[in-house]
Amino acid sequence: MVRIIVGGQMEKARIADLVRKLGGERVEVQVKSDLEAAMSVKRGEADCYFGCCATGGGGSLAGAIAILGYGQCVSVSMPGIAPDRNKIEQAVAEGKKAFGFTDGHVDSAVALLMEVLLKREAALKNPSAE
Amino acid sequence: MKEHAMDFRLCLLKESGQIGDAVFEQVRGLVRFLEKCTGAELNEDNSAMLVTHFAVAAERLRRGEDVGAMEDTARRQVLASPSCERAAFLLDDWLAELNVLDAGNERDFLLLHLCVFLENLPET
Repeated sequence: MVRIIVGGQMEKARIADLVRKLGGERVEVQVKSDLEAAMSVKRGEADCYFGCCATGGGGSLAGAIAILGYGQCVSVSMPGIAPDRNKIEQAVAEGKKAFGFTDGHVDSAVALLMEVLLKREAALKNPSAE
Repeated sequence: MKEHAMDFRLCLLKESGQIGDAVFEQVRGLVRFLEKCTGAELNEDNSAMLVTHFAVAAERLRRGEDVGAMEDTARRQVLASPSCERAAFLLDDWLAELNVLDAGNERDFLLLHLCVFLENLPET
């Protein structure tokens, strides 16, 4: 089970619906304010934070950076820069927990993040399958 | 300056190194300016997005960092907003206070957030 919390500033309901659709029973998703969501990750109540804003580097992650620190946060898309699978895989492998993206990249960013996070979850459950 | 409901958020941004002292005060000034102009009380529910975006954007402007351009479709929607004219007036006033003559790509995003804020205010 991957526990995802949607913070950020925009498109929260849409992101949560997408996470449920893509993750099914393998995910648990909640929607909170950016600061509350980041606190949930810090307390270990959620595994990952998804946040969206117009630029991918402002309201999407500012609350998470304030609570979790820069080291656990990454922007995976910006205006004109689409999310990249390799960058997301690297960020997840490095242990990043908060992911920010733009409202124009919600579908692609959430799809890639879910794919990578669920793959990692499966690998952690069954390391020999990797 | 008297403490405001939005100060907690701004303090977190400052303490985490995302904004400096100057931007902290500039955005506090913006909060009071908007309250004076709109008669609304700004709080976490109606302005967390606006305040966070303005703070981070103002810091980028101060550092001379660029942000990518807003997509054309989104830009057209912002310009078609019924609040756009008022938002542009308020934004230009605030940018003048900051001595920002050209906000570049940031302007569209700042305008977007002001339009959303103004459109969500209860009608008086």
